[in-house]
Amino acid sequence: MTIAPARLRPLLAVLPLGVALLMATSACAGSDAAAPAQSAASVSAESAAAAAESAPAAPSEPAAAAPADPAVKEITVTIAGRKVTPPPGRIEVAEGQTVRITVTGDAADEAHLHGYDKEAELKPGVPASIEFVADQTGLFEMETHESGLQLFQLVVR
Amino acid sequence: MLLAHGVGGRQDLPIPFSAVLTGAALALLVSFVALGALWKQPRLDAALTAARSVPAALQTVVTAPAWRWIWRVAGLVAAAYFCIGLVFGPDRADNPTAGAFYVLFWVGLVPLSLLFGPVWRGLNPLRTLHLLACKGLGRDPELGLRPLPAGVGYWPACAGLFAFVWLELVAPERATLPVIGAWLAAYAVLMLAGAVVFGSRWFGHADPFEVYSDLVGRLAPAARRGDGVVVWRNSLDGMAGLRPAPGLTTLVVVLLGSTMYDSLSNAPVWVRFMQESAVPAPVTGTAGLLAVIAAVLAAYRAATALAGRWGAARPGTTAGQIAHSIVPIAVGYVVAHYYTLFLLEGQRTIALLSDPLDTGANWLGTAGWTIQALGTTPAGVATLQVTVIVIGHVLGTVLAHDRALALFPRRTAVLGQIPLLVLMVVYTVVGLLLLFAA
Repeated sequence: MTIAPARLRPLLAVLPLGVALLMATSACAGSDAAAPAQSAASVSAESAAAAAESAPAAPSEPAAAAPADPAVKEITVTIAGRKVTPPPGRIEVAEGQTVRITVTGDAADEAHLHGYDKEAELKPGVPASIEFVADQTGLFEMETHESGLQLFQLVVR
Repeated sequence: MLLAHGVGGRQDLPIPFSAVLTGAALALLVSFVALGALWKQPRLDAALTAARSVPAALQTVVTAPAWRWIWRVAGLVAAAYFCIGLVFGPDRADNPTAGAFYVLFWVGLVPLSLLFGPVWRGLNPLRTLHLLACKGLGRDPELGLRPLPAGVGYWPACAGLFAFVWLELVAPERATLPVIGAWLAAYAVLMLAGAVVFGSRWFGHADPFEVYSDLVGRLAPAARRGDGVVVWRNSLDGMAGLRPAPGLTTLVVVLLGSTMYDSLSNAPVWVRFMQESAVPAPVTGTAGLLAVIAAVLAAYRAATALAGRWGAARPGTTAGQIAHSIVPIAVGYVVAHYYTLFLLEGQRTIALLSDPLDTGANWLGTAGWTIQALGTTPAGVATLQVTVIVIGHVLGTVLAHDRALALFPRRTAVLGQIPLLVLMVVYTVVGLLLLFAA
């Protein structure tokens, strides 16, 4: 089988170049350098006018991506009817960090963190807590079973 | 795609913004190269006249009647096993049905078709049931009660595809057995009824999974040519063989738009909007899905209309002729979006499939599987996502370029391509931005 007909070779030459560029880029933005790279990216994202959809993601990042991470990341959520305070957004934690989530709702429900599969029983007005070590990277949703509300997205880098 | 506790527990991290910029820059670079440095005469060989055939041994195996029957039976057996969990299993998080349907089947069709061509045509249990019934009754499966009307094209499959993506992305309680069962029952009835009326050709026009597998399968490295010979084929020639037909444009747009909506629906902005709105979630979800598909379609029609005007093509033909070049972009985006879901949830589902009745059994021997990461580090996944999106863009650009050379007269060929290349860059950049922000 001919690997690459002559007519397609110039084009196929671009591909390995592109992949190499990408590898170099992600190696620089790899997991060790992820936090400063992401803060730098969020600053450049706010100044880049073209990225209209990245603007909502940016405000939640400066609040969470503090350079000196505290030992335990505290997340507090209050539910009143269908209103979630703070409004659903992305909360960043570092891999290996301990996370404590406290949810207070006004109705009997169950809050569930996907991926980690942690659950908290909610009784009206009583704060419920979950504490765990964020040992898996990825994006995980926290939501309630009965009312089906998304509380926030936990981003573990 | 987050359905329930069972499916999609862990999702990918947003890609770094540097990856978006790199991908966008590459997309632009590719477009300029296509315009300036690529061939000046249409070169793609859709009829595969110059293709080399596969080794004789492989040719004999693949063209034997027994080969088709093996896969038909395999499809029936797999469907029957799937129905055990669907019909008799308890409706709990450990039921593998949702994972098997949305992940192993729907997402799995893509790599299977990319490797082996239009596989669902060979595996479709409904087609097999119709064939067996016809053989039993002594009828020709291709003949129905009446011929399929001429202008039907892909419209039924387009409607079916929309029905599926609506189920997958918007339907309330979509990971529960009653909802999946109801959808599959309606789908089976419509497909079989249509086959009875119009013959087995109905499946090729109306079955969304067959048509999806067929579109993606055009990128596969080997194909059965018109004269029955199996040949090696490069993806560009394969995709160029997709002829315009009624409904094709909308079908491809639904595919691309629905995957974009899937990304968008996970964005915190959209979640906030949906939750704080007084309108019930399925209504806002449907509206959002329709809006994204409509936006993709509007952009497509505007770009192709402009290209047709500037390129001095016959009016109204450009949209249908260029639709095939959007397929690689859509496929690249589907792969980027669902890759880790397929790897991780796929493993989980295969483990759960050993015990569809939730009795502690281990019928397939996979119940004890632990989920392996299989190289899904954040940096690796981000690289892969941007790479496949850029590859999709490259293929799409080359396909559009080649078709434009055939459609437009020489003096206007360059000008006519500009709106098409802009359209593709926009689709690719929007795809990258959605991976970054949503």
